[in-house]
Amino acid sequence: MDALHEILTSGWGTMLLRGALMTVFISLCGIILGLLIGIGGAALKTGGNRLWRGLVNLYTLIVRSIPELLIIYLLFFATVQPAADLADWLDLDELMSSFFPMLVGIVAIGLISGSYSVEVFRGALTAIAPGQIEAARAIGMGRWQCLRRITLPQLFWYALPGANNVWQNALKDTALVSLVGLVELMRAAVLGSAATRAPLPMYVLAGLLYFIIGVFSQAAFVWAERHYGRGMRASRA
Amino acid sequence: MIELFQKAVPVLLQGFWVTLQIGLAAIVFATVLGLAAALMRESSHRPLAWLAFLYSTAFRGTPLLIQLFLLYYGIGALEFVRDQPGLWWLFSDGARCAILAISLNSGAYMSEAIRGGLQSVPQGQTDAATAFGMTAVQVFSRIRFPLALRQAFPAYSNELVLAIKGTSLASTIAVMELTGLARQLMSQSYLIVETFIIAGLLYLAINMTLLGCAWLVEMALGMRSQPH
Repeated sequence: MDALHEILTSGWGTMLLRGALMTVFISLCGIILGLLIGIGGAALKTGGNRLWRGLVNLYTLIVRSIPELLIIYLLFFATVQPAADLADWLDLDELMSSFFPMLVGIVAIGLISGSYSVEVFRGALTAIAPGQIEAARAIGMGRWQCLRRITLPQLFWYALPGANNVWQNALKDTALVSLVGLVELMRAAVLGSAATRAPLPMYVLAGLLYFIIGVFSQAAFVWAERHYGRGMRASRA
Repeated sequence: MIELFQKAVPVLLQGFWVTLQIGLAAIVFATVLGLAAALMRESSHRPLAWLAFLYSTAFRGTPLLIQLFLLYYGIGALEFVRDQPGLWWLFSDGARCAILAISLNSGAYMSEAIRGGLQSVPQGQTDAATAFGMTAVQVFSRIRFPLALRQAFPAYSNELVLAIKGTSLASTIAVMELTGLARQLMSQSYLIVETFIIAGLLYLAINMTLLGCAWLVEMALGMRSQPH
């Protein structure tokens, strides 16, 4: 209890909250990248080209069977030297030192969550009845119009439950980016526990924050499913 | 290229064995934990069911890295733990602590998979077995468990891969397993992509073997009638 009081009064509480904000930010950017990869991958996988389908399968197999941490280390160590050289050349060392771990984090979360969302979107794509696309084409919609008005709105609704899972995992995976120097919630807890010498309450607090973020986003997904599903339920029943 | 194989491969193979040991030990403990927690959730004893719910929710709702640090740096630093020889044996060693953390984490996910299987067994089946004169133990061992097992197995086997991937976090508490050694090689040499490929292939080998075993189990359980 004393330790908890000390943590909250000595500024580590706000440090944890700022870390939590960074965690949410990196997860959001990462999952947006991941959703784009997922939609692209799903389109390639359902498309006819065998080479592309094989490549997408290879990507999902590799990223899903290899530890997230190893992927993060690969991204970090393969780019840390070129990034430092670039920053030197542009004379932007300070900017790079704060942006580089963020960039690694976003790309890593994007690649990892992307590999899981390919399957989510493939399932959603196949859930849309082909007759709808045929009907849209028959009344004269172009490919782009058809995609924008028929496929995409339904795609997102069908993909929501799966996307919720991908998001929850992405959120937890961001903790790993702390190991390459990004100051997010996990890193804030590590720094805080070293400074206050009270690791137990520090990690419990950080764990609680992760949990709270997860619960709130879960509620958001439930709301979104209900809200965007207003026009869908009748057709589903 | 030759230098690479002389330098990196023996080091990574050494890590491969550590990863394999931690991973397999964690899978065994996680399976026991998962099964126990699933049965607790299904029991009519309220506090037991609540405890299992709390366990599964807490461990699925937070990152494994937090759980690992909490156990190793948090609980491992408690005076009480340092005084108990048994607890100190468990918490003082990184590898043992990693096995504990991964087992607890993976067990929480497995409990959900197993619970889903148990819930999928139709009430009529167990009613019929009871009416037939089977004892509660018989109903479980002959009707509920075999049916639940088949329903839960695919989700369970997914968790095996996740448990193996989880072992990579042991490197963060100074256990030199595959990812930890790969990190060391990446930071010391220019063989970054090469190290990643070799380490990745080793992980792929473990996971493919596990999924292959899972496939054989599914065949043996009659879940796959003909191989595709």
